[in-house]
Amino acid sequence: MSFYELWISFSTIVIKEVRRFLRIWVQTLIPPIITMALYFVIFGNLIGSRVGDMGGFDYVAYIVPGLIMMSVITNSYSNVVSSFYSAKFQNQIEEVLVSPTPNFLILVGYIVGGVARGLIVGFIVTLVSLFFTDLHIAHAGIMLSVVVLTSILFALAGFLNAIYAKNFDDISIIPNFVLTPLTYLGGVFYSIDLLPEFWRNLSLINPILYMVNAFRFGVLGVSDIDVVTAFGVIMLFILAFFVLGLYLLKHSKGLRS
Amino acid sequence: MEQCLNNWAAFPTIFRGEVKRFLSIWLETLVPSAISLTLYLIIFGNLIGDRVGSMRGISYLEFIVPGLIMLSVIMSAYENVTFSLYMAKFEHCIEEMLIAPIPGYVMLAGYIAGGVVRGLIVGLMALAICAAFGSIKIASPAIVLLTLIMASAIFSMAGFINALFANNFDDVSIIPTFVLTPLIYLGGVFYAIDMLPDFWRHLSLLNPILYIINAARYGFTGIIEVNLSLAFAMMSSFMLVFFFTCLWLLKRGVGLRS
Repeated sequence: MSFYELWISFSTIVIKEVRRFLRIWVQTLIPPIITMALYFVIFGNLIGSRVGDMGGFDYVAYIVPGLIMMSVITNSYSNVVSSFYSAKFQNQIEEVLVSPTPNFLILVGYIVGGVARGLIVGFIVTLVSLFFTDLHIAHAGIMLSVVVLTSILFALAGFLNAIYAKNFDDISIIPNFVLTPLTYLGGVFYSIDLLPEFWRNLSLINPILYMVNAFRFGVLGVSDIDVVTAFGVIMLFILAFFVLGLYLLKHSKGLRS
Repeated sequence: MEQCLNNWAAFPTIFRGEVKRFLSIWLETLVPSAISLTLYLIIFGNLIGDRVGSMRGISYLEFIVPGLIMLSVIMSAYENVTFSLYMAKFEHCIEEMLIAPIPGYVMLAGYIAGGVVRGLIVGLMALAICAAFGSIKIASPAIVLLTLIMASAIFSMAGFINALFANNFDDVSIIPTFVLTPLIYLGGVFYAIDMLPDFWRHLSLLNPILYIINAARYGFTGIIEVNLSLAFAMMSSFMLVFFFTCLWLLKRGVGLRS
């Protein structure tokens, strides 16, 4: 395929992906805004005023970066998992697979769709947070690169989930049983300094902790962990997931039987 | 006589079908609410709760337990009936029930009983989890149980009405996301309304879920921010209004007979 043809394939997948979540915006864009606004009001303002400061900041300022990351993670993941699984379920993925589109382009197209949703939701949640606190961004470059990389990571993870999924239950199991607990326990609401030593060490094996803290470093300038390590962890996961995604696109029985 | 016998066969059949449905998919119906409850207890009950200090004279953990239990119960009861009835509509198996000689109130009672059982099971599980986080004292078990049952029944019927009007899967998730979740979170699960500025406190008093959560908190801790009789009067009136609305809708065939 010529470069132009590759571009057509790629942009077709991306446009389709973005249109999908924009068309159903009531289910894709609004719910995270409502949830996050409730969290800002209740835990940020009301309870936050009694919590006092955390990591040297007001509690509401402390949780804002965590909640933004939480919405980015959930939305990037769920966009790709539902879209790709539906394409599989309705067998329309076969049209894409028989077309001369190379596998990596299919993968990248879906990832870009997921990242677009993650970033749009993240941006709206950030705007909502401005009603509750002032954001002075400490390191804009770090903030942006962490949010984009995390979004890529979870779009990829959603893609893997969709390939393995055999029914609609399988696409809600990982978000419910793995993603939600890891996010809540990934330092969104607290600094791991508050934990007893054993739990603090255990928290360090939670990859989401690194992403939330690196993002918080970008926004506030404070972090529980080393930011370079955080980037290392994120890149490693992206690489592993990308290779696995490509391998599965080629060999998976879930797609080509 | 014969009609009476029919009803006695119809009610348990619908009821058992409902209970079997949610038990067979327990991984989606019972476990997720247990997980989110556990997370809330760890984070807001223990970690953050220690810094919040006492609320209305009790520890923050004790303060939020009744509300968190009601949160699980309300969402579960609602979801059970909306989802089950909407699926029956969607797959047209509801038509078998509509052509059978079953009166509307028997069908309604079967669905409500299913939702109430789901609410109670989730409520008991929630209670057990909360007990693992610290000794849970129940000041008045009768009030706790009554609140659990009434709230489950109210939201089962609300879910029933939602399912009748729903035309697609989106319509099933709109009310829980846009109405129920905000009303529950702002219904004093996590805070005492006397912390609010005057205007917001008065506004909160218009939220029916505030009364349900306060009734439950009274049952557990003896602390209440509204009038207990008013709370029960309100719950009873919601039950009556929803019940007759459901019957009326069933009779008119709204969403079922076209």
